[in-house]
Amino acid sequence: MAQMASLIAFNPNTTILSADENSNNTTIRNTYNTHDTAVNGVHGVASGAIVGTTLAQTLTGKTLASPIITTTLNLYSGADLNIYSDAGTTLVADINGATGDLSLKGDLSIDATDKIYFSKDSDTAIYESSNLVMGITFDDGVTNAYQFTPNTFLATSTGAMSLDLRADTNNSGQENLRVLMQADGGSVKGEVGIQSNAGALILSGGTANSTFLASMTADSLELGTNAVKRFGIDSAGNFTFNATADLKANGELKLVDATSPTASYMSRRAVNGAWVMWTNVGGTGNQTIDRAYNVSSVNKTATGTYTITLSTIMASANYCGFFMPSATRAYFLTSALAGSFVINTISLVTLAADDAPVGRVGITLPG
Amino acid sequence: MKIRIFKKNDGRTIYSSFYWDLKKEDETDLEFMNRMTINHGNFPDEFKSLPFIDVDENEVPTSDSDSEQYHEQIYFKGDCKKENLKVDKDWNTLVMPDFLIKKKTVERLSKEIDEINDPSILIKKSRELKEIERKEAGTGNEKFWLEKALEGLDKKIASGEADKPVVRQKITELKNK
Repeated sequence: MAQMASLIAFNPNTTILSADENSNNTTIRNTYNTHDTAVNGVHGVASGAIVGTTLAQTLTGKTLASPIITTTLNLYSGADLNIYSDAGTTLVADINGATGDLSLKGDLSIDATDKIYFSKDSDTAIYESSNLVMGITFDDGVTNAYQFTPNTFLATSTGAMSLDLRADTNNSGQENLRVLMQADGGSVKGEVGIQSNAGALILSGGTANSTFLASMTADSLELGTNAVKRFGIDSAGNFTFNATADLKANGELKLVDATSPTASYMSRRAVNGAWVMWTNVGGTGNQTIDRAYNVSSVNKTATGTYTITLSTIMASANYCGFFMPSATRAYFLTSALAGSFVINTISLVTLAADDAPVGRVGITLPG
Repeated sequence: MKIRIFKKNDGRTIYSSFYWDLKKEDETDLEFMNRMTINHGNFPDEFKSLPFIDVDENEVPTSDSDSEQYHEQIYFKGDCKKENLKVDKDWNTLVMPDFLIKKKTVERLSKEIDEINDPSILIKKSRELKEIERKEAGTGNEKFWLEKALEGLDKKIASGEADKPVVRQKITELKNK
């Protein structure tokens, strides 16, 4: 209407039109004289209004039916931005005007080739492609990657939490499940997972369907408790224990020599033997085994006579042995069997039994 | 600490001790002791068929050779039960082991030699003592020592001591085997 006013100059004292035409003209004139200015104008005749300059209009209380917007659309609000699935009752999403937090009342669905970006870095995100891969990089795009801080965690206020990772849920093939870790620009790598693909095992020499924890570079793998390393495997495969950690086995600890597969030894060459120490051999009380290696029982059958039963059979009876009934006396064992042997001090001494309070027996088979 | 006591055919015992550090966490004492003995391939077969009891070591008689209480004096009087475990302190029921017969014989002969005045008898007895001392105990000379045990019993009766009929009969039976 403002443009129209600049094009036509109306003189209320000039009569050039018919009565009907004059009447219409009067109507137009009255309308023009009573409309609001362009800046504050109110358009439309129904409820609501469109207010603003020609290039910037504000819609209040208006319903847009199937609008088509052909340029960049900017939606903004002075406070929160709410999205409803109906005429204003059912809120399905909103953006907090103060914090920018996005709140969804439904699922977030990402198409197969799309990603969720966590930062300015566009390299890594959560995405799905031919293989399910999940990676998270917090990066400012300029300097080093952000580190997780104590404020960055997954948590539940009550109850348990589990992180459930699954691969090959349809069990149609042989896919590995891997959690990959790396540091120092990728020069140090570790991995945990399940290597179920027999044709593409993660660990060389590994076993199909095994769960693994491994260093993937020439660096050690270490296990600890109480923030102290207790046990480790170095890059060469050597087992290492710290000074206070013992190697304990409730079962048998075996090293099987490939050249003698029917026998098991701690070490075939170095230690093929047995030893035992007991107390109260002839003192007041029955014999109690204090320390032993490769001995399953000590059986007192008569005065000064003991049958020592070995846990693991000797490779032969050609071992040498000794019996010390006291700290200052020792006898060599002259006859022995591979699985058990008898020590008889009666046959070794002239008269009475040599029943000393402490008994020590050791045998060894030279390699 | 538990031990397993086997009852030998003559009533005497085998005391079996174990290194309990080898016991597994999920294993009972019974299972452990079975694994170490009757279920163990290296445990002597002649022991495996013997009856046994499992007891705390402090609840059963002990042997102490320094106090002349020997393992051979512990025996089951009847069935293999803890309450039947006895000690034959005076050797009224059990036959002494060879090394003890030898010891007693040597002591007796030595005492006799000390009291001999006749030189010819002294020489004879001294030779006998030397022979006894040279004879080994427990190595195939069982009948020789049983003979000496009977001689010892006879000497006791001659000196006015009471006989030990149960032991005498056992010695006789063993001699005649």
